Amino acid sequence: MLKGSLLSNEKGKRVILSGNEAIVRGAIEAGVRFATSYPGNPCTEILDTLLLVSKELGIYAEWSINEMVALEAASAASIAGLRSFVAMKHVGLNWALDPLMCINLSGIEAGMLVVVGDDPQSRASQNEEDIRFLASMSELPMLEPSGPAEAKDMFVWGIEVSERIKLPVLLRSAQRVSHGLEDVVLGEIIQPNVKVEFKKNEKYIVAGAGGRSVRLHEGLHKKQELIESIIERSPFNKVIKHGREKWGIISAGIGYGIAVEALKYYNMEDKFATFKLAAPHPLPKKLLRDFCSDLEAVIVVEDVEPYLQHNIRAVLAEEGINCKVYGRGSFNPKLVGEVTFNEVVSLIEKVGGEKLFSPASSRSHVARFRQMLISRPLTMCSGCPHRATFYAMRKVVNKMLKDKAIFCGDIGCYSFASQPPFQLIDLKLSMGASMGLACGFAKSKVDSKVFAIIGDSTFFHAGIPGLVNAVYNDARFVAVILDNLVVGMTGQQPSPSMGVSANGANTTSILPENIAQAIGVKFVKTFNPLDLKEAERAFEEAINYQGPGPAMLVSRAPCAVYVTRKARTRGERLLKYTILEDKCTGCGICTQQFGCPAIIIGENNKAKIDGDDCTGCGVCAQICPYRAIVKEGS
Amino acid sequence: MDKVWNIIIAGVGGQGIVTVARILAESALASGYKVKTTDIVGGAQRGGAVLSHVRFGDYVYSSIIPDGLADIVVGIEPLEALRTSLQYLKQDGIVVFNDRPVYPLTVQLKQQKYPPLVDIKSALLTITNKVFVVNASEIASSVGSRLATGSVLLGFMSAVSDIPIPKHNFYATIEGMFAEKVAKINIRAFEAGFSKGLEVSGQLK
Repeated sequence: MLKGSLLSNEKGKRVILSGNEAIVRGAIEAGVRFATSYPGNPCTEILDTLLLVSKELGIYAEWSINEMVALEAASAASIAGLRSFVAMKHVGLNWALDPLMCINLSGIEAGMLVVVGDDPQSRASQNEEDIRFLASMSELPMLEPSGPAEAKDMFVWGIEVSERIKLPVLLRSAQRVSHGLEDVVLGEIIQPNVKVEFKKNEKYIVAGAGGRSVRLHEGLHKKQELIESIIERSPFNKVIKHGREKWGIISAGIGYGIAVEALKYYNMEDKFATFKLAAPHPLPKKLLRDFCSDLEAVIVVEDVEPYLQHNIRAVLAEEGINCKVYGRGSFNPKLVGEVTFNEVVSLIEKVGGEKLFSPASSRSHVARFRQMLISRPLTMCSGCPHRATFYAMRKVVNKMLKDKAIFCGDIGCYSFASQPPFQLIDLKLSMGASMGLACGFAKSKVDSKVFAIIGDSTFFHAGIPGLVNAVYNDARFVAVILDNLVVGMTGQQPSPSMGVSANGANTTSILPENIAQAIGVKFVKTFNPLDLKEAERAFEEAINYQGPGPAMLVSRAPCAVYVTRKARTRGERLLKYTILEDKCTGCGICTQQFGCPAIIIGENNKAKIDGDDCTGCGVCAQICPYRAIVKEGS
Repeated sequence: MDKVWNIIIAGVGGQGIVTVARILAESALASGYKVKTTDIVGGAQRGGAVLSHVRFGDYVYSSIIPDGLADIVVGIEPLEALRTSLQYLKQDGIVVFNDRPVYPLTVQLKQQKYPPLVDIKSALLTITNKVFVVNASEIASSVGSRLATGSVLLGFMSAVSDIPIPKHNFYATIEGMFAEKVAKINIRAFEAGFSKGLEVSGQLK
């Protein structure tokens, strides 16, 4: 169904697509030939989806090692004449900011889009940011779709704009756009006349002598007038105004629909004019001037920071327009998270001076039941090899170090070890930070054994420089690489250790232990975490290692979800374990110290394995002191 | 405002919430409606709470259902049905939920207690008397796979509500979305849920 919608030549057909899928359809319609990405919520499914059809369409698509490399590669393709895009999450743009701040100076050739997924509310991210500030900083236009249908059309338009201004165009796709479905009208698929050719030009040598980069910077400033005039005339700006309204609402992206719904719900459409912006950057000054000139006040609806509110206020001040600009930063400022229906309603109340009753106000009595809502923390899956690694690690740490240990964590499923029962993560910052933090703690001579805990994909993305630093500066800590061969958290995309590329072709398998040996790590040991005795021995040896430099452990076993899915597609049944009721004493080791979700507490406090959830890893059978856990049927 | 149908699918990561929402969205489009949905995945990993808002009608402005405006909540997990209904379900709306709990890790670790099903039901009864508890996982297993639990609930919901989507549009969608074997199981699951729903609503009348 999805594949058919992506490939369809039926112009005008309505199909259901998510924002991420619509972006891919947009890329196909625009004749994109080169795409790169690094997995990250909410944008992972862009490349996942493209890979369903990339071979058929002759589009090159890769999982790059990180967002910086992804942006550089897509830029080169564009410079060589191929329409391209790169997709990443908001914090990915932090990584890619360095090349972006140069490619905006050199410019590109064929149309190029930088798709940035944003996660206001930080539902599946290390932090919340407002990436719109990076559009102002890089002086590149940033388009913002209000839903999947617009995401597709904006992609196509954005590629054309990019080609005209010879600069990459940013496309912000917030979580609500990326992970929402909408009926989308298919457009025509362009078959570009591609000629791959690199035309050498001095402008690509940005870091040249004699102030060249400053001259290029000046050139970028001069281009802003052209960019502004294009955005000013964008078909995606939408003004609804009858002339009798006293007030207005301005928004870009998902907030626009919320605002319009609120006005409809309270029958206030004749009181508020509305303006949907095509782009948070740059602002269409003339349109804003015309819209606001005869209004008393406008409400700006947006996520996270009052970015639009402040910038619109500045535009109106410059134009000498006396219209008040309210928004997130007004009244009771709330400068985090997503904008909600209730927030918009309360702004309308404040500006309109009329009390509005919310749909939920009639049932405030339910508040007392909220105490029943126990939390549901994220956890490692049934059969996850990380759990086995942490079980062994906790046991050895308790025996050898007690609380004299510092655990520097990283970004991935293994970071759930910060919670009970393991509590083996003390710090969790950004991609690759475990290594740098461990270097710092070790060199600060803290009175504790220092650990860096990082997954395979994060190690390749950002961990290697920290390890090189540790060897070079003789920082003594234990680096634990949890290698499950995939990027687990985002849906089991292959990682370089698996030796399979994005399109499924075999490629060189890159092993973290080989990298460690090559850069001079003196203690390197690989073990299988599903063998607990082997894992414990490895931790003991690594903790005993006194230097020089770090000790490195590689704990390798494939991701349990990957294993389960593979078995399911092959029609194979995984081996299961079961608990012998007469032997189980209800001691709680498997439930409370190990915590596999497949093991639940049944009657009489005895443990019970859910046959549907068990993946057959067999680790619980090794930890049970009463040998009550056995293979099914044995 | 023309009628917009507001339905929320709630459950735990790995239960197929996003897939159920997609079946509903595709079936609504096939029935001639405009559709918008939004997912809230508590993390990209299993074990967290997951929500999908599905809205369809002649025109839909926003994908996000405002608090207290959901016509129907479909819970693949009891506690998540309660969590979602307390925030979103309108007075006298419909809530259909599976009776099989997925215990949070903290319950296994004995740090929190999972509320008894009867308490969940009586809390919901203060919002609406249209509360339906279904042994959906059991039914799904009996027709081929527990993974089809969502389809059982979708069938049940379709029988006890007035949603304007004919059954054959659900079946065509399921056939289009899955491989033959999986499609068959899901259609059987939908059918079983639908019959159960008719039976229960017949008893009410």
